[in-house]
Amino acid sequence: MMPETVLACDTTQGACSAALWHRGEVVAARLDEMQRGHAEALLPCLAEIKRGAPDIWARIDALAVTVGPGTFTGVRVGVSAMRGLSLAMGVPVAGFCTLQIMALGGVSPRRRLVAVDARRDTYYTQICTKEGTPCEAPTARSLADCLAIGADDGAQMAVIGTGATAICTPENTRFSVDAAPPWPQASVLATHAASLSMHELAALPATPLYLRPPDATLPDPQKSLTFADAQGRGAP
Amino acid sequence: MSAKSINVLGLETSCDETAAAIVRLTPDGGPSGLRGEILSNVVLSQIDLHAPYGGVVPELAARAHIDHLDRLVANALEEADCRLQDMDAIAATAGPGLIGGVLIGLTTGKALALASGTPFFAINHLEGHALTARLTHGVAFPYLLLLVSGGHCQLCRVDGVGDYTLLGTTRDDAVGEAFDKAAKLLGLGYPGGPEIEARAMHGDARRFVLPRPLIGHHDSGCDFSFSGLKTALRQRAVDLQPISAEDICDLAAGFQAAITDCLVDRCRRAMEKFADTTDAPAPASSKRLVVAGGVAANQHLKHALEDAAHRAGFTLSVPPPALCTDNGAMIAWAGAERYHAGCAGDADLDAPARARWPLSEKIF
Ligand SMILES: Nc1ncnc2c1ncn2[C@@H]1O[C@H](COP(=O)(O)OP(=O)(O)OP(=O)(O)O)[C@@H](O)[C@H]1O
Repeated sequence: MMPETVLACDTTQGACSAALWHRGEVVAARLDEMQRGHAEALLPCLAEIKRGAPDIWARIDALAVTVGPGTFTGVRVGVSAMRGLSLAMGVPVAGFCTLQIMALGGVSPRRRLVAVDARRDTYYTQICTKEGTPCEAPTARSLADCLAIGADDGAQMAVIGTGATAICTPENTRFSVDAAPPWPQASVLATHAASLSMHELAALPATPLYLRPPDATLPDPQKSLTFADAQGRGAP
Repeated sequence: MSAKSINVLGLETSCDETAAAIVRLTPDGGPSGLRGEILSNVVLSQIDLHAPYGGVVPELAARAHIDHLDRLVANALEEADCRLQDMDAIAATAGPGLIGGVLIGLTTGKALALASGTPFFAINHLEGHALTARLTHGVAFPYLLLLVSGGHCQLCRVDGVGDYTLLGTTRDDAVGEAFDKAAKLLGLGYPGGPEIEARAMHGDARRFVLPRPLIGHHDSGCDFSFSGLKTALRQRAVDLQPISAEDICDLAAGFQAAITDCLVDRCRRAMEKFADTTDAPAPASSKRLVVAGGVAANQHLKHALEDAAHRAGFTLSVPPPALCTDNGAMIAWAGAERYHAGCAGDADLDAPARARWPLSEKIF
């Protein structure tokens, strides 16, 4: 069975977007560029879609959300909103890799490299076909590793995402900037999700994909005081 | 204002507990005019996750909140035998706290409200603590509140919903934080409060007499300070190395005694102030000191405060420990009180998450 009405959103990168797909077309879509403030923007944006098309909203039978990689906070804003809607509406929510949805938005006829600049010489990347189908799992790479992609067969690649600035320099002639926006578009996500069966959607959990471990440091045992009895430390 | 019951779902994700609860508020003829009932109260503690780090790691906390919150909300509804449609309002903590975690509860709450067409309330976590005694004990306004938690140490006068006057606050560490740091120093587990209390029970508080910061400083109002106490504890511990099990118990007892003295001294001042500033002198029996926050679980402190309150002609009310530490019921209750008082919720669903959000401005 295919979904009839899909609500999708993305807040994982430099935009906040939402789209409603119904019987073959996107009937409402919003996209606002922003580096911060996704959390305040998303629910009003969804509320506006609901107000604009209450009858279609009432028929939503599937939800779709990008799960990252992206900013940790942005990823969780989208996922928690859609998981909340899922619980309240009693319809499933499917999670999609942010990079894949960006690749699907590409316009160049070349193979695609999605590369998001995650700072500290880390790029969230995924190599995709010229149709935007992923050829690998999402991967964190350094700039040098990005530039080595396709070096053996001299592949020409279209780069999508904020990483394009660093990768597509005049010296790196194999790489060119794709004209796609450097963030996912909820309208692309909604259309893609609507092409899958309810069964396929159910197999895509809306669980965050971080690609980077949390910042957490264990205490330094050297800094601890010395105790007479390390085992029974202070046991009464 | 209606005479019918109000059901509210509350979400809490501001620190290291993921929590969802449903409470019912029913107007009645009691002292507070309301009766509170907890229909469900689901709390998932992350203590084991953070214990190896000796404190809460914000990014780990946020990752855990999002993994579990929707399931906990479903559990809370199920336990209460309610559907989302039965809720009159949805409330979620919007701060103060760890912003990454706050955003998860806040966003989830707004989404539930949008989908079900239910009013949404963005709640100040401290207001949740401040009003809990009305849920558990039906305490009437006005009352004096001592809020002692992992992130706060404040004395407030509570005159009504949204009507809080700060009488004093900490100048450095929160009191729960002081307990946690002391426990870490002494090689004890996290959270430190219960560990210190357990060791102190077997210790001699007279062996190490630690400083009582601000006591006797007349210009200090009802403020608190704990960093000097922490430094003094460290100095004693360093000098004792290697530290024996008995030393630890004695240090814990000395530390707990000093903190208790500080809190009791400040409460005494605040009770005087409260009595002076309450226009129509209330009958002695109705003057209340309410304690809230995780540190209120400390029995040594509770007994000392009971004694001080009694001497000042106050009655002490302390909610049960499970409602003193972070929970969803207190957030749901604050939402219910706001709804009942006719406050407008966040109709635009654009309330921001706030890392800092004072309950009131300092007045003296
Ligand atoms: N028996 C006890 N004695 C002293 N302190 C205690 C006891 N039990 C718990 N605590 C302290 O209570 C704190 C946790 O309380 P709570 O959950 O209310 O705080 P929080 O969520 O960290 O902070 P806040 O509510 O201000 O955001 C910890 O610092 C803990 O050490």
